[in-house]
Amino acid sequence: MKEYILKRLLLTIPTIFSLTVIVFLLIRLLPGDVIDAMSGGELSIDEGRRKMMLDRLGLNDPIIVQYGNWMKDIFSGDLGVSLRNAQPLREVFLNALPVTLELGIIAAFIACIIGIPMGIISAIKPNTLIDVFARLLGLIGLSFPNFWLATLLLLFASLYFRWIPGLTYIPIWEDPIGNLKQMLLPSVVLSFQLMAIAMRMTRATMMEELKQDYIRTARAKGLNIKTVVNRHAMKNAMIPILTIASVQFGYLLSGSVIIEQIFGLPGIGWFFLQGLLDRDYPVVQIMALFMVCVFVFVNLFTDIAYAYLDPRIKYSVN
Amino acid sequence: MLNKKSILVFIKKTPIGFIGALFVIFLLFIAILAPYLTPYDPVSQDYQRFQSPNINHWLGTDSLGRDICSRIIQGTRVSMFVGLLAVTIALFLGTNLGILSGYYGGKIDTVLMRFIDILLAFPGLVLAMLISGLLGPSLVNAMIAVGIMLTPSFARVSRGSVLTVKNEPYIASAKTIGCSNLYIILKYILPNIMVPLSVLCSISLSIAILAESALSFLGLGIQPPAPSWGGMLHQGRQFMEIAPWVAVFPGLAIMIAVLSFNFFGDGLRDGLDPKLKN
Amino acid sequence: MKNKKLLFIIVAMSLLVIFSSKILAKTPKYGGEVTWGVEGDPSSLAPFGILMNYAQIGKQLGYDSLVEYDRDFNVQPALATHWENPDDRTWIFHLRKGVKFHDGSNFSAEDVIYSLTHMRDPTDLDATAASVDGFMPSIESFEAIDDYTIKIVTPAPDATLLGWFAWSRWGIITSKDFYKKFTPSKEVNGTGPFKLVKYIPNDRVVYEKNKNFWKSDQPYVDRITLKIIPDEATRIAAVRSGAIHGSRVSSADLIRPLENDPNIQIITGVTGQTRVFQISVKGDGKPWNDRRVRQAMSMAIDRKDLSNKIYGGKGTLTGPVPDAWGVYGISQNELRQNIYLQHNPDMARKLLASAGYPNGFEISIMVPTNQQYEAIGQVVQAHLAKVGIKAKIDKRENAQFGAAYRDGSYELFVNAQGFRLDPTGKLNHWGAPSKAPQKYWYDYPKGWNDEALKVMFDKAVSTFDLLERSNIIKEIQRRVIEEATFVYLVNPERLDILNKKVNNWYTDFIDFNQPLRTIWLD
Repeated sequence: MKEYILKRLLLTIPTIFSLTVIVFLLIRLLPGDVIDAMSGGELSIDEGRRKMMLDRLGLNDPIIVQYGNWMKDIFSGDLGVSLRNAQPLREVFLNALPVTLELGIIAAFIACIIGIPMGIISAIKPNTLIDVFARLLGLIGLSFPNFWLATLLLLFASLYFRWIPGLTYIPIWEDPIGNLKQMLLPSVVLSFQLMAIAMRMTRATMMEELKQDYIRTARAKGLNIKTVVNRHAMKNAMIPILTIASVQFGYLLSGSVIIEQIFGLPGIGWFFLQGLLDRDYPVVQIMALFMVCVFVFVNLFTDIAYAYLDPRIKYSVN
Repeated sequence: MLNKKSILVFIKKTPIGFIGALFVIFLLFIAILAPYLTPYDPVSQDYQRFQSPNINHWLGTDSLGRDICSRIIQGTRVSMFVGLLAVTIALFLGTNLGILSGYYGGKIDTVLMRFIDILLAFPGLVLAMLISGLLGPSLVNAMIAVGIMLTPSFARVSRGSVLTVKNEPYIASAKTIGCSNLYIILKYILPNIMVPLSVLCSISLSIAILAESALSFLGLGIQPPAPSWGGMLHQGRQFMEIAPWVAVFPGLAIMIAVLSFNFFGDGLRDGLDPKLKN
Repeated sequence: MKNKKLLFIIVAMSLLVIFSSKILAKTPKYGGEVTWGVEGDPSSLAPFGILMNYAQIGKQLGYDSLVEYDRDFNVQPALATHWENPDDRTWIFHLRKGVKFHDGSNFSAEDVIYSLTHMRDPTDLDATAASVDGFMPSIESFEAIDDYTIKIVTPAPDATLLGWFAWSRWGIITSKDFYKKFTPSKEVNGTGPFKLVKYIPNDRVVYEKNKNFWKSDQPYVDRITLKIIPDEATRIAAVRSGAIHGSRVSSADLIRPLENDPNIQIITGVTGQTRVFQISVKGDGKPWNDRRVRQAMSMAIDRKDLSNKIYGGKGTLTGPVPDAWGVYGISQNELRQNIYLQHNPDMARKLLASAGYPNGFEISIMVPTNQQYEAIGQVVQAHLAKVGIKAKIDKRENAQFGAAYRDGSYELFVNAQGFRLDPTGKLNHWGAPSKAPQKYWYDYPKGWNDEALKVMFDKAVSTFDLLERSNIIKEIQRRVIEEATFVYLVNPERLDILNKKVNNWYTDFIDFNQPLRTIWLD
């Protein structure tokens, strides 16, 4: 096991490296550059000046040089500067990160707290009221476009309660209550789809487990169903759930791109979207680096959890 | 397979799945015959704008004076097309990757999974945006983008399922007998992964339809004035208070389509319960 | 006795009227904090060379220029108390004494010299800035005659110089060596009514009252926060719920439900921003190098329908210079009579046929990914279809759009032309050789070439006499509308929704948020 972990950790390096290279090249292939994005359609800049601006921004250097410079920035820890306004990106990124992290954590928390237990109960007690309600909720959560849900909730709140979640972000360590009041509604919207998926997946795999021979045996033996569930079914059901969970991480980030835009939260989702639309390459590159690191480690964790939960899976080490 | 008996069994087993199947067929029917079904030209702006649903315009008109019913019907094509094609791409690419990776293991597994990691590292929407940006906003490009976005989950789920049964005794015995890898994969692996895959398919179809609407929100959906449910929902959002029908009907259409596919998927899963699993 | 009583009553009533009118005429109250909703992130607060519109909104609370516009769009003294022209190429500005920058340093001529030196092309100081050469009047030389007097000499008589400063977009005054001493993208050091507290990208820009502002009785509020909320529905909800004090709205349709809201006031008005078709050329410019085709396109458009569908009816006819621009715009009455701006599909078809396109032609309309422009594109597409012109909509996201604009790889796009330093700024395509890339066929002198128009343009720039300027500028506009090098669509009204507690807001013709500098709360 230890060797497996070590091997996987070492393998993360080429993954991260190749991803940053791919992203580096890919975004430079997108039509338009940061100057185009800034000038839009009303203002035109002559060729000579444009070349000069691009030179200053380092965008006319050979690709290798640009990549080398960026690597230098990353390893020195300062993460470079924005092409659009020369803001040091480290500061901007570190200010935006807690917003999205909090949004995602609260959303995931809500989704799990409500979704997983509902899924289990739904599987154990099929066709009861709870089962029907859970399935209904799951269906709505899966099919309701999140930006529409956000708009409806905001409209409802502003119309009938003359209130909307505070728009000015207060970090949680400054004012926990104010922060939660602000983050609750966006997190709920973000969690909806996740909750539904968690519930459905849990229910599906749980139902699968309950049909297994060993469950029938246990029942026949007269064992308490709860014990059986806790000890065996849960463990086995967790594997596909974990797979889906690791995938849903991505959902949280893409969901936050939309939610942050609508609620005006200055998180990394919005940071990324803006950077992409502006062709602000360092922003996209940093985000890509961040995302791949998160996912590589989440996947590693998931695979280790697999092995722990299901002794049938053996990993060979070459 | 589709004889009377099995259909009746299907209906009896999963009434909800059957309802889902009916809706899916209904939606496909509308999608295929759309141009003949629209009461008015979907892009014609000649009607009075913001009419609430009435006898002439069953679902009302939008901000530019177009008939919403016609646009929803026409939009069915887009949504069905996007969903089905995107999931097909993902199913094909992802399952192959996952099975190869899980079954053969070793170096192949390592390389392929790194590739999947790279794709997974991008939040779905972002990946779709990048691809749409590269290829240009259009229907086909949106489908490709969404399909690639869905591939990793198919790969991971199939790989995960393969890993679960790879070391079962019956696989080993099949190998000893001399069965080819392909035979083993088709006879033993595939049935095993069908269950989680079918659930994933139905989830993915809904994700695809929702992804199209999210892409529209970000401005990367299909080219106007072609109607897409996502685009209509996005445009209608701002008029929720003065003309809610502009957003509600496309929203409902999205929800109904998504739910139909999910019901159908559930039905498939329950109906296909392999009694001959072990 | 009776007369005395009557007199008493009359006097009492008059006193009452005078008194109550004094009470009712509101006097500004001091204090309070205002939050205003802004649609996009400024990205940089640097004083010079930043092209984005939102950047202007981000910095305008902190900076002044030599002169400024008041709410009636008249030029008023600001950092310059008075000025004169000893000859028609020379300007002498007398600077205000006793003004301080936000950092406490004193304002004097050397700050103006520093600003004048760098405002045209700050690219050596700031890699993210651009040259604004195409907008700024030519200046031959400038010098400080003494600590509070500046002399500016233009190469030819130029009536647009004052407008450049009053516009306050890039012609503002910052402190000497600003770029060395401060971080220009996120710091502000001006003489304006508000001091920057902080700027958090994608979140907000916060300003507080400048207690040493040179208008000693202003500003009124203590703090202004520009909160960035890109989503319009959220902004409207925020104003409604009282979370923010006001914001701009893009269409009258969206605020119909607010008309009866007791807490909200709606203020509308005309600005200098117009919507136009901008036509490009690929290769030889066919088919729009033929004037009849362009005119046909202009006549195919039903501007009233466009105005209704996009702006809820709040749009007016316009030439290159909106009619509300003082004496320079052509009046609505005259515009209504102008045959090229009338909706006339029959005439359009005839013109197309005579130009050799009886069955119309195909064209693509490029639009940015923006709800409003997508909608305009679709409405226009429907209009053009009725005269046989089959238009396809080509939606491009921002950077793509900019790239296509830059290399001219588009056929037609819908554009907004904003305020310029001077009405001639809206006409400079037909004037002196463009400093912008000569890629477009209408750019003089390569493309559509009209010596007479060039002469008129030069005259308009160099004439100081208001009436004469006005006539020349109107004449140029008539010619330009007839030539239809741009197809002029509408001038949409600006809509702002505000909390009733906000006083002294008006529609700023320049179309930024100038009134924020002088608002006060109940």
